[in-house]
Amino acid sequence: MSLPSSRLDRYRRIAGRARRVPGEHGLRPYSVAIVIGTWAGAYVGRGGKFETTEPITELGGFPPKVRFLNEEQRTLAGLADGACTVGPITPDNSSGGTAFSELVPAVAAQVEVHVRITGPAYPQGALFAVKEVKTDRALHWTLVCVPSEKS
Amino acid sequence: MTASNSVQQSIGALSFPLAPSTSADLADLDPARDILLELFAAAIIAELAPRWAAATDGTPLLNSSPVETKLPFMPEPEALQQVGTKFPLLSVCRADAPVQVDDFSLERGRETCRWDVDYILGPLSLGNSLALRESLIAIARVLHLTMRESGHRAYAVDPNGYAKNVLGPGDACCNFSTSKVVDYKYGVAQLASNGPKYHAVSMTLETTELSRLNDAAFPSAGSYQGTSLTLRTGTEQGLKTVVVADSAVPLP
Repeated sequence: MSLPSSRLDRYRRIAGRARRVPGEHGLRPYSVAIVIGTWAGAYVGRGGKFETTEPITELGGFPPKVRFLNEEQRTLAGLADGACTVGPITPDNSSGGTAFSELVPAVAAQVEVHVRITGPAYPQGALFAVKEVKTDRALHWTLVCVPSEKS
Repeated sequence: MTASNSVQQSIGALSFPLAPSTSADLADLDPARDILLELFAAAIIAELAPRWAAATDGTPLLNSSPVETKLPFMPEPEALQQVGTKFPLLSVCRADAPVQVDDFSLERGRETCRWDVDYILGPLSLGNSLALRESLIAIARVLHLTMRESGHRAYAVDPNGYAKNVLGPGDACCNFSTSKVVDYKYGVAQLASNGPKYHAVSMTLETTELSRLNDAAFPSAGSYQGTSLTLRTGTEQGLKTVVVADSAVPLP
């Protein structure tokens, strides 16, 4: 009999394989990455910034789903224009997935964390702040993002 | 910018024309904010150190400093979503309120500005908040007294060993003309609707900064050889000369 953790891993691998399909067929037009900006000075905004980027992908390196919320959804959630959800994102498993610590990195006070979304509406990429990370589902996580900066 | 097309004046710690610099940010155009932030953080850490470690044992603030995060901007939810933040948090910034502008004298202008200072302990259970919330009273009074002293020995000392006056004029100083604490209040704050309650103290400061001509940017008095000045005063019955000034070299 499988241990519950083994079953969870198996279910996550199955979910990951299913979530790669839209990307394989070119149906995920937006790419998503976590951008960590480390400022050289004592605080954010001081002394120049060095950025590292960590893409969020499904199995095979395909992008996750990105959905821009409509006016009703934004109003009900109290979110700004341009707010979007990223996910479902398959949690880390033995075939890949994304670790929670990649979505919510532990950073110091002089470090900024954003999500960069690049696609039809933002061909040069746009930075979003992570408003919420939904972690109440075993097989997927979802980011709720609000716009921060356009290139 | 050259000297010839600049206003050639200063206000507070900001002087025009700006000196060339390769700095990657413009924070030095308003150095008072960072000075106040570092001054207050140093004062809080120094004054609370004797009690902090023992009092925070068994709370989420164990092994923390009385100031874990220093922010030179308002601790608004949108901002805190983008940066790494640990509690306790201290923020100092010019308030989102109109700056009053008036004349201090015929040639000197004055700006009166409000500042927001927020110290946030963080979300705590009832028991831990009751154990630690008096720190907010102590911190407000540390800041109050630091403002009265215009400095704190934990931040900078003068050649005599006293707290250096960093709020007044001088290099690496705020260059305020006056500064005072207006008010402060304790309580809880929520950084998001329906979010956890954060125990905090908020303080309002008021500072004034004066404009002045940059003497160094103008030619020396020797360049005005031959200039004379006569000032007369009086009534309709006639004027009487009260001031006559002449340079050493007569007009040609």
